[in-house]
Formats: sequence, C-alpha cells, structure tokens
Amino acid sequence: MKKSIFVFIFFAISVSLLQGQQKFEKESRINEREVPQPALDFISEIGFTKKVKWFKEQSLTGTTVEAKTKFNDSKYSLEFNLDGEVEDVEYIVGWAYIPTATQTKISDFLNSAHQKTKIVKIQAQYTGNDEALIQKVKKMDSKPGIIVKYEMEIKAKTNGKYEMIEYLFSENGDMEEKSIIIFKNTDNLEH
Amino acid sequence: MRFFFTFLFVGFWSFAFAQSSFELGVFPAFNLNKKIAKDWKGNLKIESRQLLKKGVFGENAEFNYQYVLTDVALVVSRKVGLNNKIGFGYQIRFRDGMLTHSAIQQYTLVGKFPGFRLAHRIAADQAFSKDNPAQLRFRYRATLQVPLNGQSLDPKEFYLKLNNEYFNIVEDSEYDLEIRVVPLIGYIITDANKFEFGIDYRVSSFVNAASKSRLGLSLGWYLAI
Repeated sequence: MKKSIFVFIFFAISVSLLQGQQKFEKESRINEREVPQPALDFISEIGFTKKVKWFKEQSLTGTTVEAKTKFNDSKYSLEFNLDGEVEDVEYIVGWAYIPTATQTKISDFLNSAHQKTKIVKIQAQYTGNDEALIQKVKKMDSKPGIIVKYEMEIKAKTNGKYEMIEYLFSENGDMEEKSIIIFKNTDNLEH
Repeated sequence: MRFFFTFLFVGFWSFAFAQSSFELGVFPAFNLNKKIAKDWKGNLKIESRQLLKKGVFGENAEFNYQYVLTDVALVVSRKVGLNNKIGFGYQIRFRDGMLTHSAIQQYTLVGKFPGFRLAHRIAADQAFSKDNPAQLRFRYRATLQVPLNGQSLDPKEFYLKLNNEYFNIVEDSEYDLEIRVVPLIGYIITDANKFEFGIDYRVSSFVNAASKSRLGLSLGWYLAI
C-alpha cells in the first residue's frame, strides 16, 4: 500500500514537472536609493541615454532587482541579485534576429508540441562576466564567454486549449525551460 | 493634436451642460464571481443608485436624498479563447415598486500589454416591463487598467481604471445615445478581492432633447469565491 502511494506521488510530481511549471512573479517599482551600488555602477558603465526604471521582482526562485530602459530602439531589462551582481541582460528582438538554424529547430519544436502558435515576444538573454556583458550592450558585439539564450512568450493551442507559455531556448534552439503564464483575475474588467 | 483634444473637450462639455439637467448621486455595486466549471464562470452583480441632488445647470438645487433603483444581474460566461469570453445573463431592475426584466448578451476581450491592460466589452440587452415599451440597447465599453506601482498589478497595490462606454438605445422607435466616462482608483486586497472608487459621469438625451447629465460617486467591490 505504502509503495503504491509512493509510486503515485512520484508519478504525479514527474507529470507536473514534464508539463512545465507555472510562472509567478510579483514586481514593484523601487527608488534608485534602494538599488545596490554595484548594480548602479554597472548601469553607469554602459551609459544608457534614457531614464532607467528600477523594480524589485519576487519569483518562486527568489528576489532580484531589475533595471528597465530603452536603448538603440530596443527595450532592455537587466537583472541583478540583491548584492548588485548582474544575473542577465535581456532585450527585445524580432524573429529575424535568431540565426536560421536555431529558428528551424525552434519552429520544429513548437510545431510538434502545439496545434497552433503565435509568438508574442522574444527576448535575447545574455549571461557572462560583467565586462563582456557591458561590451555586448554598448557595441552590440559579443566577446568570448557570453552565453545567449532566447526567451519566448507564445500564445499556443494545445489539445484544443489556448495557453500563454514562456519558453527558454538555448543558442542552438534546444528547449530548456517551459513555464505556463497564469492570467490574473480580470473580473473587474469584464463586468 | 493638443488643439484637437481641447476643441473636442470644450465642445463636449458645453454640449453636455447647456440648458441641461443633472443628477448627483452615489452608485454602489457589488460583484460576486464564481467559477462554475472548466471555462465557465458566473457573475452576480447588485448595483444601486441613490440620488443626492437634482436640478438644471445654472439654477439652485437643494440636497434631497432619494433612493432610485437596484439592479440584480446574473451573467454566465464561457471562455472561447485565451482571453475572450461570451456571456449570457438576466437582470431584474427594482424601481418605484415596478420590475423591469432584461436579457443580456456580451462578448469580452481582455488584452495584456507592457504596463497596462485594455479590455473591450460589446453587449446587448433587451428590457421589458409591464407598463413601458421594450427598450433595446447595444453598448461598447473600453476599459484601461494601469498599475500605480510597477508594470504588473499585484496584491496590496493601487491601480487606475478608466471606463468609457457608449450606449445606443432604442425605445418606442426613438433612438438615443448615452456616454459614460468613469475614472476610478482601485486597490487589490488579494487577486480575488478588489475595491474601486471614483467618479461616474453619464450624459444622455443627446439626440432628441437637451442633454441630461448624471454624476455619481462610484463604489465597486469585486469578490471571487
């Protein structure tokens, strides 16, 4: 009896992991005074020309500080840990930004996993050491040691049901993470 | 562009207030929402209208409290896409000891954008009562919701909400248009419990008579169980 309960729990957990976790984030605007100094130094080194807005973001994996701004006609989002160390740099890109071989692999994956898909947003996500990331943002070229991934928000129809899903693909187009985006209650907008 | 909006605003204002009557009141509303089944939801709305003052613009009007009406509506909606629903419902209006029955049909679409949400509602209703002719209404409402803290709306945060609704009304072969502008401040206690307050401005009788304005304090409570 105990063994069958254990098997059932293991099976349930495995299925939920395979189906993808749910995405939870709580974001609130913060003042520049609340931002760790190393994060301010990093931003100052890049020399963004437009105003930088700061946010505190709580997710299931912890709390981070996020800087958002516009630069070179693209929306940038830079994520730092609470010590002010940069975690990643993301900016919005179009489908054409992704190399053709990676595009093909991502398309094949999406077509096999869903009946219908529509890309809502693509962000190129860069991780690496500070110097390489600053270089990447300032000059839009990459030094060695930088890792690029693609975070895609898609509207998908699967088994007749529509969902919003966030996928993370590797540079080669391998699917690494899947999160179901949970819609917040919108009763007050409908009635 | 700024000139255009100033012109539009001044024109609308003078059109609404010239020789027109007004009512000043309080419009409290309670919305109870419940998931009935997969993709199905029910909404029970109880809305009341209380009058505090009534008169003609430019003339003296005294404070005079008066209970006007209560609407009780039940709408059942079904999700038909990722963020759109169709709904059907029934409303009973209690006014001066008389009942008015309405059938309601609606379609809603809620869009999520970076930093705000924009919702559209297209609805029709047909009202019937014992002593009055049937009234048919076709309405469109746009609702903008902007969080006041950060780019997403989270519990224990305030938000701005702006409703703009256009009612096309046909009663006894006569057509009328009513426009509503409702700016509100909302507070999210939890995702399922929201409170809103603000100004509800309604202007009607555009087409066949001097316009009629109603200005009220709007109080709304949305609870999902």
